Parts: sequence; structure tokens; C-alpha cells
Amino acid sequence: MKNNILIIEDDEFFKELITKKLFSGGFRILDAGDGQKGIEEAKQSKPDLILLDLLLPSMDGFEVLSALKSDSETASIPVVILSNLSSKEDIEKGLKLGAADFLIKSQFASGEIITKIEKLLK
Amino acid sequence: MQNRAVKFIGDLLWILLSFLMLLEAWLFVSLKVNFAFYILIFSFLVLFLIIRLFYARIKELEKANTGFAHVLEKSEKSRINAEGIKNKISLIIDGLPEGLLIVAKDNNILSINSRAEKFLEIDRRLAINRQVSELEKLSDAKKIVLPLLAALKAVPNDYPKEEIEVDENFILDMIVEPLVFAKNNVAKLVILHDITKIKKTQRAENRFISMTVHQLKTPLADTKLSLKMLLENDFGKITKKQKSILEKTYQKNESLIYLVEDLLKEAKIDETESADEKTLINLADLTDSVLTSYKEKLEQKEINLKFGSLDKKMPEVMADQKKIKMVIQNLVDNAVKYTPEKGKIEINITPKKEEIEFSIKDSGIGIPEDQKEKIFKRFFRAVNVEKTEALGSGLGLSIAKEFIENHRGKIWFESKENKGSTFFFSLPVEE
Repeated sequence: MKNNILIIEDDEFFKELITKKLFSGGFRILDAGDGQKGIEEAKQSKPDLILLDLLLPSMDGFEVLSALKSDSETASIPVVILSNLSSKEDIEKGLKLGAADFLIKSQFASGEIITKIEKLLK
Repeated sequence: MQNRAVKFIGDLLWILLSFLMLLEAWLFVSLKVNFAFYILIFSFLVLFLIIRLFYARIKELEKANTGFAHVLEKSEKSRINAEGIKNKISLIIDGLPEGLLIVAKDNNILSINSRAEKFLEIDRRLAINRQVSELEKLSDAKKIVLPLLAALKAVPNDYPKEEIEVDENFILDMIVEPLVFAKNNVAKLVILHDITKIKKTQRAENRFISMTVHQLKTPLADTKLSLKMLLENDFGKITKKQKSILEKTYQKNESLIYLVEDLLKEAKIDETESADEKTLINLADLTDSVLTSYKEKLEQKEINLKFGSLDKKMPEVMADQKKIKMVIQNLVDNAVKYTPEKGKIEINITPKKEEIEFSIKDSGIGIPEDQKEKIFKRFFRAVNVEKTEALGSGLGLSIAKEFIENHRGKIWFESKENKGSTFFFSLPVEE
């Protein structure tokens, strides 16, 4: 049974790369280009894990995270934040709002993401 | 003038009558004129004297009276003046955009201005001479009163400064200052300053800056990932040559990422505190991987490279692999860059008592004496470097130093101009 991962990200190029990476890691990918669509998709398809960018059009990534965590249908899905925002405050805020992990785009090595996801899905 | 004229006439008469008296005395003695006549004249003289004295006295009193009247007038004028000044000052204090409160040593409210009345939603007639603690009952502006009370409850010699955010459209800055009336009488002056506008501007600026940071980092992150994936054959198997080029591009991109983060940190714009991810690393293996990307350049410049890691059973170090790799890469990069063709580079990794030492020796242009102390400073490039064609931002060594020192290691060098340099770093080996 393949694991489903929902990517909420508006950078098309990055999404293409990450999708390819995860696909070769054996995951099925769902995607949403903004926060609102992401929340709807999460509710509808109940992915096994969500990758969330923080800088999204219209809805702020932190707001999306709060919304996901406060809705009983999506609260149990682990959310990994994947963003370029990397100040201590942002990381603390994300973890406090319930993110399972916080990865900084400009710093993580691509293999890392698969390892982290597999660990979270166990 | 009139008084003086009268006084003059009076004195004249007095002299005249004194003369007459003397005349009569003489007449009496010499001519034996009637005695009664003398009594009459004498009485007139005495009467006149008395009137004159009274007159002088009356005049004196009149003068005193005028004098008093003058003084009263003056003091009344001063009072009106002072009253005028007091009113002006009151107007100014009330017109100030800051809210002011004067609280006595015993926590009695001595004074409150209009703005403070508005902020605290209270009428001054209710507040004056009340205890500060009663404000809680008197005012509905709980969000301001509670921090204010907390600040005033503080130790006598504590003069706090605090920001009070009532809501996102109303932010106050509260400062408490001492007001010294007399040696043991120190009151507290509370100043409430509306800083909403300043805060809003600051926040807008910060948001703009965050956006800029994001604009800079996003393409770098995207490039990093795409290069990594290409290198990992995610888009098809790559040739050796392709791998070599991609690796170099990847390294350049990595340097750029660190440069941007470092510059932003310097400008206090970005506070990426990339925590050290420590794992057990093998310095020899790390050096090997760095050297592979320089193989071609070394061949091109015909540089003789010697890498001696005495035994493969080298102690491992607890460190952040990414960062130490960057350090090694920076040192190798410099050595290759500043060593002329047909030169020599020698790398050694030596385990020592409680540490492991890495050294890289080159036969390059060296560092002039007067530039040595600046080598690890940001953006510093020694003067003699400009003569070579090497490009560099001058940022590498300062970052390398930061990384090594964050690992409680040391980094140093020995160098002689035109002879070459040897750079060293050591990392502690934990038991």
C-alpha cells in the first residue's frame, strides 16, 4: 500500500522536484497550490503526511497549519513544514502549532526528506 | 511736589515764629511789655508746633499706606502673572500627545493630564488624591491599568519601561521616571506614549524585509534541490563529466546560500541559526570527497598534491558534517586558487592528544606580514591577492573560523609572502 503525501506549495519548480524525489521513494503525491485548496484536499483524501510551505498566496502557512490541527478530520495527519523562513521564532511557532518537523529548504539535502518522512510514517 | 512746598512753607513759618519769639523775649526783657500778650503768642507757637507734628505724622501714614498699596498691587500683579504662567503650562501639559501622571511616594495620584485621562478612560476629578491601586475600580481600560499598576508596584528605585499592546491599532509605550522634589521626597512620573504608528511602520518594514529574504533564498533553494537530484541520477544517469560540472555548480550554489545567510545575519535581517547537526565524521573521508571536485583543476594547473592520512583508523569527530566539509573545501579552494602552476599542496590529518589536526600546506603567494591579523575578518582579501586572477568574496575564512570555533576547535595559519601558507584547524576528540 503506497503512502500518500499531500504537498501544499506554490513554487511550481520546487514542487516538480520534490514530487519526483518522493515518487522515486515510493510515495504517491497529491498537490495543492495554496492553503485553502490544501485544506480541502486534506479533508477529502486524508493523506498519510502533509508537506507544508509557509509562504503561500492568500492564506499564511501558519494559519493553514492551525486550521489542519484544529479540524478533527485532519488533526492526526503529521505535517512537515518545508520553508525558506528559518528564524528561531518561525521554527518555534511552527512546532508549537503542531508541526511534526520543520525543514529549511535552503539547507536540507534531498535524501534527508525521504528518511524523515519514512520515520514519521512508522 | 505739593508736599514739599507745604513742608517748606511750614519750615519757613517755624523759623519766622522762632525769630518772633526771640524778638518778644528781648522786648519783654528790655521794654517790659504786657505778660499776657506773651502767653498768647507762646500758645500760638505751641499750637502751631503740634499741628505741624500731626501733619507730618499724617503725611507719614499716608506714605506708608501708599507704600503698602504699592506692595499689594505689585504682589497682586505677580500673582496674576504666575497664574497666567501656570495656566499656560497647564495648557501645554494638557495639550501634549503623551499621557502624564504624577504619583507620590505613598502611591497617591498627585496629577494627571488630559491625554492620560483619555488613555485611562477616567476623569481627573475622580483620580486626583486617590490611591493608584484604586484605578482598577475607577477605570475600564483594564489593558492599560493593569500593566501600569504592576509597574508602579515595583520596588521604589525601579523605573520600568514597557510596551502595552491594547490591540493591533493601539499600542502604548509606558515609561516611569523619578521626580525629585526634595531629598527624601521622590515621586514617580508616568509617561504614556502612543507608538501605534511607529510600530505599524516597523511591522510593515519587517514584512517587506521578510519578503525580500524569501525572494533571495527561494531560487537558491530550488537550485540546490535540482542540482542535488541531478547528481543523484533522479533525472537519468549522468556521465562522469556531467557529475563533475554539477558538483562544482552545487558547491558554488552552497557558497552563495551561506553568503546570503551570512550577509542577512550581519544586517540583522535574517536570524537563521542553523543549528549544528552533529554526527560522528571521519575527516579523511570528508577530505577525499572534497578533493574529487578539485581533481581537474589540480591537473590543469599541474599542481602536485600529497594527501597523507597516516592511518585509516583515524579517530572520528563529533561534528556537523556539512559545515566541516565547507571549511575543508574553503581551505582547499584557497590553496588551489593561490598556488601558481606547477606548485605543491600537501594535506595532513594528524590525531593528537585530545584533538585531531588538519593541515594544508601550499607553495603559493603567501600572506604579507601586515595583512596577517586581518585574515579571518569578514570580506577581507589580502592586498597581494588582487594581483592574481582569483575571484573570491573574502567571506570563506571568516565563516570557516565561525564554524570551527562553534565546535570548540581552533583555526590558525603560518605563512611567508611568496613562499606559501599552511592553514591548520583542530577539532576536539571526545572520549
